[in-house]
Amino acid sequence: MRTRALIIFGLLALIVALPLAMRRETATTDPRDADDRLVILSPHNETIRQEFGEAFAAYWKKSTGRSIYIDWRTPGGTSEIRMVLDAGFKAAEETGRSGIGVDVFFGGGEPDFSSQARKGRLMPLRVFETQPQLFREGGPVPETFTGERYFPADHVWVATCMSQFGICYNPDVLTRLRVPPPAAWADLADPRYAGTIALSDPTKSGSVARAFELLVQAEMQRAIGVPGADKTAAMGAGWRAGLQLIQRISANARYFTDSASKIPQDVGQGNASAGMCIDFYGRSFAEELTTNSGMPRLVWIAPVGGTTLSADPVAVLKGADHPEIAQNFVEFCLTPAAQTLWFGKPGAPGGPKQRALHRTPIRRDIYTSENLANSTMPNARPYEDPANFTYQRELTGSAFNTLRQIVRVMCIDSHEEMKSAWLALRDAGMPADALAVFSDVSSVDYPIAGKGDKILDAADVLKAAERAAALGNAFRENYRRAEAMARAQSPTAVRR
Amino acid sequence: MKRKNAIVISIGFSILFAIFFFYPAGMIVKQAFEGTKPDGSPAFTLEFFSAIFRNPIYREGLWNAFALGVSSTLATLVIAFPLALIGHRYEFFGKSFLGPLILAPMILPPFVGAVGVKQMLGVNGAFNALLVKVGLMDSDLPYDWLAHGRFAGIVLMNALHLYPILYMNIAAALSNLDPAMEQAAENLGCPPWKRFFRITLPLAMPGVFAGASIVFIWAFTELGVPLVFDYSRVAPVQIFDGLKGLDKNPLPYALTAVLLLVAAGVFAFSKWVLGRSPLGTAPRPKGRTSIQRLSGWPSAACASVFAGIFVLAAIPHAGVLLLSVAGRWYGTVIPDDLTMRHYAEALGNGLVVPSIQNSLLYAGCATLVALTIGVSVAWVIVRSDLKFRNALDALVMMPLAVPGLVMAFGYLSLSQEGKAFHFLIGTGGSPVFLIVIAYAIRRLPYIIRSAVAGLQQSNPALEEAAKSLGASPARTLRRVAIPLIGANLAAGSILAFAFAMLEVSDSLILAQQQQHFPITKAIYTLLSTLGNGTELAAALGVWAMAFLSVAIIGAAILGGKRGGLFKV
Repeated sequence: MRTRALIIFGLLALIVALPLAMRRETATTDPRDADDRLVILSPHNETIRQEFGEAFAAYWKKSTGRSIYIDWRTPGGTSEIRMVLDAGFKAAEETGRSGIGVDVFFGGGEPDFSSQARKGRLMPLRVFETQPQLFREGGPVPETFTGERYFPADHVWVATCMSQFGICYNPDVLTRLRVPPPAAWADLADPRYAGTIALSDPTKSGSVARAFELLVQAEMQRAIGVPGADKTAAMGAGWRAGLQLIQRISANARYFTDSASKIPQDVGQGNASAGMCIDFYGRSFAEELTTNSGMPRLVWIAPVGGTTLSADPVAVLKGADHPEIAQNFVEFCLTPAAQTLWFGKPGAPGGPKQRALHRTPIRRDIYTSENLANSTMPNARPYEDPANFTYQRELTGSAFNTLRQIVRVMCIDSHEEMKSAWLALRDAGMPADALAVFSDVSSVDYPIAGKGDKILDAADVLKAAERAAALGNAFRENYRRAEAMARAQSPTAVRR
Repeated sequence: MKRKNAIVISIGFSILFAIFFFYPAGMIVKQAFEGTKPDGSPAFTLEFFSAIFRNPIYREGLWNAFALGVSSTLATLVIAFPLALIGHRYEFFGKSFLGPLILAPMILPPFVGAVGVKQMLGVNGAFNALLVKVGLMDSDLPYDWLAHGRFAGIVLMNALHLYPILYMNIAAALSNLDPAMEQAAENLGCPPWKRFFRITLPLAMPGVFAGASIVFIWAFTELGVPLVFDYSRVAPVQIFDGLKGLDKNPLPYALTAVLLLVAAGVFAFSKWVLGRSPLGTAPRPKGRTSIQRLSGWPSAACASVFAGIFVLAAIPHAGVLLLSVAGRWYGTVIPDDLTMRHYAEALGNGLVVPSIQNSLLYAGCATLVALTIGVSVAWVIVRSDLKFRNALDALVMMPLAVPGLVMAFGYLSLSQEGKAFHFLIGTGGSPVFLIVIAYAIRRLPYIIRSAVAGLQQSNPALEEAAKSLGASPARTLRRVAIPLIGANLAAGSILAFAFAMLEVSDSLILAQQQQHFPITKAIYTLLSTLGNGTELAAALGVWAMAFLSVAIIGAAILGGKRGGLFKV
């Protein structure tokens, strides 16, 4: 017995000793030795946290002579962060405190920051006073670009870099499915993709919801752009075409996920053929994943017409315990040294220490040929890209919430019926009458929902739930009917 | 047992349970009952519940969850009972080695487990690569295992993940059986099958019920496995989607309340139908062993059943292990480029060592707390004649059925400065007490079920004898009652400890500062490294698997011997 116990405890000790022996100390590991402290709530990935944490600590030491410990709070993605902020500020309000013990909110999408700003949880940023030249007309950080806002009029947040939704695809799987590489969102509607597309979930993230909104808006802009078109009619037709495009892409979808990395992971591994993917994940996975013969397993593209360059902001939270350091952190994020971290090659001058972040800096003046030569994306010139599309808030902005609900009831909640009908349609050769039933979006036409559906957006959640349920039932009924019609027309088609 | 003691324990426990379970869970779930009057003031409402039952999507989701729960429990039973019975009856080739191995599913680390499954069973996964290689599949037409027959797939994966819970409980129950009963039946000419159904199964029923009730609630509320199969029309996924949604919608809370009621209802009903052993309690076996030594074909057959189950159950683990050493792994059976660099990077990360200390502290303390509370409550449930003891029994199962996120945010909002649980936050924001309580409450059912099963089987006459000879209640408990149910307590504690070490929601939400992260949050953090995040997370996951395997097998060898849980 004693020998057995000795063996077991010996083994356990060995297993525990392994990480002890391999441990590497990093600059900001121990809070006790630091003079200062900064609490940052962030959905940014570990690589960004590490690089920015170390760079800011070095900057702080250089400018003040003091060491700093960065306390990263990472409860998860933007959903969890929203819940943590809500729980914190609710308690703070009830107990009469002004802050929640967090200084900085770093990373996310413009919708996340705007919604916190609306609740009055963000402080005006000092950088707008100390560095006004950054924000002047035609300066390094424009107020808006491609229709996206990079800082609000009340200066409570500012973008530090930008991101773009695009398409990632696996060339091997595309060859197997015999489809050409996609160039635009509409290409993902090809029924040969059935069951293999990976989509992001617009109900859980404001940025993804915006990406779906852009998809609809691109169709509207196209319809309006036709010479001689009646604008009102074109807006309606474009809205319908946009919703139908979302339907078809969703019908090809395998799932809707709220995990940003799951999609490039599945595509790179060949479990999905193509998917919606944010630019830096696409670039990072494209660099990392190759086939045995050295060919890329994942290609990321910005689809032609239909994607904007959206802000990835930073803000200081109300009632911060360390407001001075927090304001300094924001100022640091806009320095050239921090900006080149976003896209520099690891180890290159001004670049990150360990890993490339693959992100596009916000400052226009950072895209010099010298910086680009030291970067992982030498061809990036976002401010000069003629293919950029411009978001027009007046077209779909007020339908932002409604559109997300429509996608939920039309595609996510009804996904089983939708997929089944889509396969039946495909096998029957897409008969026009059944396809028309499948694509019937008249219940959410532009005059009804285009400016925001009054019931879906209403404060009365019960009524909204009721309306959503009714819409969902109607869509599922359409899908079942379309499936029956398609099957009736192709008696040989087998259910897959 | 003195009635007064039972009342004191019940009241004390009820207060604790109300404060640390119903209060935080209720804080969140109460939103399901909060309507607004026309003038905007809040009012009690049941409208959200009727909205759930009016929506066919939610009805289907609930039904699917229930069907998954029942099917998974049956499938788990089909795997676990034969294993436990073979282990109990026979000595066969490699038993001492295979016995602990089949507990492997319990130690699958979170997050990377799902990736491991996909690496093995995905379209371009290892299994298809193997089939292509041996010529059974056309590489142009790979089969999508995770997209077809998803219901059956989820049931199978649930069963392969959950059978150790049932196996350990049944094994403990069988080890408490008096072999004389079976021998008597045999001597009287009872054929083996009849003997099984008339003697063995009824006598082992407390263990079957203990394990099956946990497995049912687990499978009924399971989130991860349906997500691997992209199966979203099932209530736990609908709750998860709703909770994380941008809309402030109370429907997911109403759905949570429905899930809780169904879980408690099914538990109470099945306890009423199955929970009691018709044969009553039996005296403890007196060391006579009925183990039959097998050789030749029968021995090999038993060994291959154990080995086969292990191989199937360890598919995700193999995926994680291979991932942790993979330089490149794409469309091949094993990675075509093997490396140890992920281990150097992952284990060397400054997060890891403190996270190991934290996890051991959190999970160890939580298991002790759950054990202390659980044994006392189990005693009240089995030995007292209090009227509400059956209600108490159904109540203590509820922590298993509450979604992790709901509990975690309940604790989070109550532990904010100025709120009721803020006293649990130590200096420097240390969440030790909060996490220990959160872990312990959710692991309580494992201990209580095992302890209840053990007490039902052990003979109260032995405790009464001790008392009549002048032993105090504490001494009776320490010297007689607990040693008699040692195997059951070992089973329950091992499950509680392992699942606490691998806990996700409370760990992600409540451990806010880096120096307080448990291992699961360290794995989650590594996972978000750009480039090789999955491999890094897999490497730390493998470390956790190695540690838990040695700890569990060690506990089984050292502690189980006495209780007779594992005949190794």
